[in-house]
Amino acid sequence: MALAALACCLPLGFAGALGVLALSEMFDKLQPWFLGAAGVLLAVGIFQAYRGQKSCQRRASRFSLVVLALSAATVLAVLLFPQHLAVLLADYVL
Amino acid sequence: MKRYWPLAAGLGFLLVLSMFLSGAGSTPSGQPELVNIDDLSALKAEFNRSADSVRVILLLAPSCPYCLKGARVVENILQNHKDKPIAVFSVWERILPTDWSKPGTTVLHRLRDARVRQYWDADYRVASAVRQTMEARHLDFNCCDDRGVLWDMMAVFPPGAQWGDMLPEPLLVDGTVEEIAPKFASLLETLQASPNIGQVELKP
Repeated sequence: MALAALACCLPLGFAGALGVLALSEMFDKLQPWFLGAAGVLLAVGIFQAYRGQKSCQRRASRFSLVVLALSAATVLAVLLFPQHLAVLLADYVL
Repeated sequence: MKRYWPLAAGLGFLLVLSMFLSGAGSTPSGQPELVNIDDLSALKAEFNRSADSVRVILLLAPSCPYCLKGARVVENILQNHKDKPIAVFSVWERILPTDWSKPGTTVLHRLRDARVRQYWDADYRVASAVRQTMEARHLDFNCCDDRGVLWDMMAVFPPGAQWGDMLPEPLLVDGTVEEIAPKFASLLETLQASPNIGQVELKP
């Protein structure tokens, strides 16, 4: 029961998508798998936010929506602007 | 449905912006424009024209952070050896799924030195040539192979040697670029001290 509540009410999908995406940038050779996983987890997060509300019997929280927006923006940034992101990582993270 | 219009518009704007930025970027001043490698003849001619210099071939992926860091390290080495005859051939390849466009301006400007020439090699011709040379000369390498394509690596060639049927014997060949760059720097120091460049042995 607690697990079900956790699964539908917490933005685990978004957080997972972000984490996997970060890994994809660090481990080049596994990037296709990580990118795919990020996409799937993001889809899970969106499903949680817009379809799982009924099972949680409440509206998606503002926090969940903010995390959703940030996760979606990050995934889009990696897919659409990979070189700019790579430059940032090379200069400030690695 | 109306509430999704801003989202769709934003997504469309990002897609258009992405397409706009996906074209080949401009190289730093002092360098020729990015050259597409349709066959090896242009690169081979430029390589042989620079025979009085130490020549370096870099194989890099434009959206790989480690490659971009390596490129910056090489740029710093070039800045520390401004007076040396060095020719760097930076070859960008499509390796990662995110390498869906040619290198943009921010990527090309990782190597700003005027002694650098930058290329886009969509068909991995240079990587194949390097691999062919390494295999023919029985040079071992334990890095830089992604499904048969060499990348994030550096090959250094002595002055005088010509690229004929295959690349000449390298003084140094290994990767990743960031990891091997210090050896390149020490090789340049050695070359400064040694009049006979061909005697230097720094193969891994």
